[in-house]
Amino acid sequence: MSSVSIRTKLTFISVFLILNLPASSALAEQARVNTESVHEETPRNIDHLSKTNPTVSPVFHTSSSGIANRREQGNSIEEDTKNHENHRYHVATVDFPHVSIPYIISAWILIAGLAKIGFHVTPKIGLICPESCILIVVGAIIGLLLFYTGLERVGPLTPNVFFLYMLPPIILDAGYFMPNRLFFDNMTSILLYAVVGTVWNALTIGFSLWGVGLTGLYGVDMPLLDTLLFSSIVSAVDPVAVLAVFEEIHVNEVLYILVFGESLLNDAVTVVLYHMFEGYTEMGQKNILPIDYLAGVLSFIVASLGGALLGVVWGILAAFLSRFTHHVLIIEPLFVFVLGYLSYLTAELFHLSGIVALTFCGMTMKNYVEENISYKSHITLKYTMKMLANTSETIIFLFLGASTVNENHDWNTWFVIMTILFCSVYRSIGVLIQTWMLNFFRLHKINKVEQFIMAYGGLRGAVAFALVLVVSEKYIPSKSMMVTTIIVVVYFTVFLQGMTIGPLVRFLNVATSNKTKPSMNERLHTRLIDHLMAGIEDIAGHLIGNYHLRDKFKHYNNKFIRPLLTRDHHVKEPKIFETYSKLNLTDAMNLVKQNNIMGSVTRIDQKISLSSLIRSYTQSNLPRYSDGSVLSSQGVTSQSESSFVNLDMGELAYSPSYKDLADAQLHHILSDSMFKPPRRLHRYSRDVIDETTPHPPFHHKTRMQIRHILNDKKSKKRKGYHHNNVRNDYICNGKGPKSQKYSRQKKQNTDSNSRKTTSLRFTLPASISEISEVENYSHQNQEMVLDDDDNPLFGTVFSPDDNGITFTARMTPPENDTHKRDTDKISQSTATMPLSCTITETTLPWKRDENCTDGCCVWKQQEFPPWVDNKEYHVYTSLTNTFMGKISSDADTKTPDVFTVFGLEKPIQEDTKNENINTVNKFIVSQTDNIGAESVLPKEEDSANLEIENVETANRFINRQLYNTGAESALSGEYSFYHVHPKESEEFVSKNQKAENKVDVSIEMQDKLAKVPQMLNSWQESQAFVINLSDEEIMSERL
Amino acid sequence: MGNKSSLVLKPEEWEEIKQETGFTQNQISRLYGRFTSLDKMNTGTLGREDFLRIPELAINPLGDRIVHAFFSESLDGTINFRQFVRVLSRFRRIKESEKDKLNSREEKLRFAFRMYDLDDDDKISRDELLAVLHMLVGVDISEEQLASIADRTIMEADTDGDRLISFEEFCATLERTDIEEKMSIRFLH
Repeated sequence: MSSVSIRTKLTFISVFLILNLPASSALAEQARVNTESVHEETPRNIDHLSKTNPTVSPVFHTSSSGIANRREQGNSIEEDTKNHENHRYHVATVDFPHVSIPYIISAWILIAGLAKIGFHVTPKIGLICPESCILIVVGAIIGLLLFYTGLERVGPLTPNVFFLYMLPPIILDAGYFMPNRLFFDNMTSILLYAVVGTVWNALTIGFSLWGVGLTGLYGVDMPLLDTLLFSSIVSAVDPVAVLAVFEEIHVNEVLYILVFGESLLNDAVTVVLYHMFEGYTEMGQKNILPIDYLAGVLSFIVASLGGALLGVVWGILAAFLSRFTHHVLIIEPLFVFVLGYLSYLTAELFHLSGIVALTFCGMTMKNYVEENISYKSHITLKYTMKMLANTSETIIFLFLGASTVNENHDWNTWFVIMTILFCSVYRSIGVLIQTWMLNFFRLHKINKVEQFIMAYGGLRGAVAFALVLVVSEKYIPSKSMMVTTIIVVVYFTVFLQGMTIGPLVRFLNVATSNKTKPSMNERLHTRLIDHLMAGIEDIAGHLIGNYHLRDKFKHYNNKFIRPLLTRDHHVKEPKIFETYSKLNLTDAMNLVKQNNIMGSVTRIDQKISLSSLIRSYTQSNLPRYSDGSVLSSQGVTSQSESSFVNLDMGELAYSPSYKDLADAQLHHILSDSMFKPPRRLHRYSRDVIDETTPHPPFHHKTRMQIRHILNDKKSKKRKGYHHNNVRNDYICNGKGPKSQKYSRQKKQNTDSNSRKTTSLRFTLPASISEISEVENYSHQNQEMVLDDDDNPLFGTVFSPDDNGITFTARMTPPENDTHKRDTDKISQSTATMPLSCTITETTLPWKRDENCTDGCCVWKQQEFPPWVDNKEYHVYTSLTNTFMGKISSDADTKTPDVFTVFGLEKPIQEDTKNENINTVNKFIVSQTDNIGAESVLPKEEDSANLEIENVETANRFINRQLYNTGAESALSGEYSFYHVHPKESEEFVSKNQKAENKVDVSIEMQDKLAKVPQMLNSWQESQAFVINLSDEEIMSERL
Repeated sequence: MGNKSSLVLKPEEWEEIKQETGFTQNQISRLYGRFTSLDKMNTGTLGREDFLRIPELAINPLGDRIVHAFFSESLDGTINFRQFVRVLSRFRRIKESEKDKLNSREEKLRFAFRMYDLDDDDKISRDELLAVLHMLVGVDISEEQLASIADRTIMEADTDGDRLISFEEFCATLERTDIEEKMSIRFLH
């Protein structure tokens, strides 16, 4: 055991040594190489660094010194470990040098992120100044902290870090998301500003500074070449600063692209000018031959055009590669980054303009890459790019702030003032002159305000700062002064101009951009207009017109380039499809959202849906009674009153038009596709994202089957309930002999029923379904009262599983305490219902609340088609012929009501009519052919209430019916319920008669309604007819 | 104005054209040069075939339509120089001082609208839209895809529910677009 442990210890130590020492020595070597390369580049720089506590390129310094330290430490560690071998092993050690470089970098990134968060959680700061200012301030504060804690060497903004690592992400982002069309539309203007403007700035500023220097104002000798070098650095507008500021102020896109495009492309000029003047300086003014000037001009062309060409080549390569990257989806976005970066590095390799190369690379590859890569890769690409660019930008500003704090400043007031002055003045003059020239040719004339913003938006930034750091002090002794001046200029432009440009834009009312996604129409029509304008230019003979050139490019693009670079290239106008699919996507998302809302809404609506149907149709039949009596349902009626007169319940239930069918289909498709099955076992693979089938298609049939299974379960449960509750339902109040008899009957029935089990499918009574709601109903005694001859109030219960109809009479007189115990069960159940609920709502299963306490409650109907309350579905103007005839015959004399419509005997109708209708509140009929109808009669406060009694039975019945017929939707279920049934009902009636069951009708009515019995008499056929008229005087008839 | 007489422009015609179209003298003479160079037959008028002979127009997917819209004002299928200039003047840039000229926003839009509206009923029907879509995106696209795009476009624009895009609806959809600039070209001086 001990030998093993010793061996492990030894292995561990050796591993530690192997890991530590070679790594550190390798790093040290690397650092040496680095320093040497820096030496080669700027030898004096490093000397200076080592002499005078440097601010410049501290990373190298830090790293080299750090590595040197580490090497020492490594040695010491070696010794330590030797010692440890002898003594003991440390549980934990601290080895910061081991991680120092990435640690510091990560810490900076973290600080940058935190600063950004801080900026965005304090909204007031954002109103005052742009983000870049805050970041610089934060950076400066950190710089101060580091400086006073003696850690100023941590300050990391070195030209190499800046140009090689931090600038490329920003430029790639800018190039990749460059609005190509806008850029090329304004290409000439941008080029003019970028090239001529920058050269103009550089020369004028340089000569002016030199001129001023001749007067001895600076107190320092400034040769012409030095000032020219300085001016070439300071003249360039900085893309990073411009991006940061202009993205916040949202000026119109032409203005934006002009300033931004200029800032991107002038890099070529800056690089060339810088290298040119640097070279001249090194050569010495006297040694310059005319050939060198010529070479300078030529090098400009080479740098800019070469950079652009290089970018295009790399871009095309990236596009071509992206044709095949769909095999390796997960690293698809990588190619864009790597190839872009390579284009930048290649350009830098040849001293071409890396920024121009990367910009063009991004612009070239964008369209093709976007067509090739998958949607997810696109998202990844977009966010990664934005993230990198944003982070870089933040860090650049932070570093800029941190780098200002050093001991190395050489403040020269006049030089600073003159620089700022000349920068501003010459920029303005340059913009004015160039715009004046451009406006001769431009279609979109640049107005004065825009010119002002262009001049004012010429921000200087980190590029200039990084460039001036590269300047070698060997040839330019006044370097530290230049650095200080550049910092001041950067601060001046970023702070003063950056902070004021936003308010100025608002104050001067510069046209701001309102970027919105193009609609389908806009996209299509603008495409058409493009072609049209190209055609017009052709006709007018303009062979260099924008539209003409674009059209030509498009033509060749489609013909030659796209087939090479894109996978799916038969679409000529990918943008149209892109817009279409984008819009569709948003539509679908909206639909999902709406569907969710709709789902909840319909669920609420379902509560009133059927009653609203009935109500509205009744009201449309009874226009003359509509004063005030139906007010409680305005919400529903107002929309339906004017809309239709459809009296056929079946028709009403299902009258699909083509549109309805299409809608239904769509709905099914959508709900199918939105149905998410439980996640299956998912095999995880590192390099494959299962993208093709995120979730398997779920077919409509499968879904319906599942639904049925679920429903079966439910209905089984429900049946179970019934069985258990049958007995509970038979509450008999055996006061009168008749009611006793009923109870006996019922018991018999129950017994027989229990033997029969549940096989009664269609032998069920087909009756008693109609119900009306009682509005504004506040009496307690309204509820379910059945009156016998003798007894004032009875509750009736219809036993549901029975094949016969049995009514139990129960007494529920509110004033009569003796009956209360009999009725309390029902009255309780009804009393729990909110009074505002209509009876329909309290009874129909799919409307009932689930808070039924007693077991008799039926399961809530879940699937009620969401379209049932859709107005469009029951806006129905044509009546069926059968009804039309009846209505038209009565039409002139009186409004047809329920009885006419449903073919009831005239006398009844007359009776009802002749009654003092005002006294009747509700009149509920359930009849043989199962078409329920209600007539809502005007109500008075003390009027009688007519109400169906056998609520629960009806409701159970309906439910049963629905499930038995296997109706897929409640309405179609009802449909079958209403229409399938007559046969069954007849059968039932005969059966019933055989079984000596009688149809019970209990009526509770006012004395005024004396004729109702008569009416009921004439209604022999109806197997169940329940009318409750409740008032003080109650009268009931049993037929 | 007879066809023959337009071969050589009279001074008063110059003036009329200048008044009507807002072109400068130089522009008109330049356009006149273009007109005569297109008029290979020296008839003083241009027919459709003269336009279709322009090579760039031949590769324009909407070349036919453009020519069709160009001839919308002519009755006999030919246009003379004056009509030619009139049509082209629609695409002149709008100056702030002038109003209700041929190059107004509405006139520009009207021209674009005519590109769709083949049967001149002032409505873009689904079929007309589909035909243009076909020209724009090429033939390899499935009919349903295009149809769904066309449907979507109509649905989006159609406010009165007639499943057609009227000129007003057409204008409404392009409200946000800078038609004045998009549908202008810089005529050479």
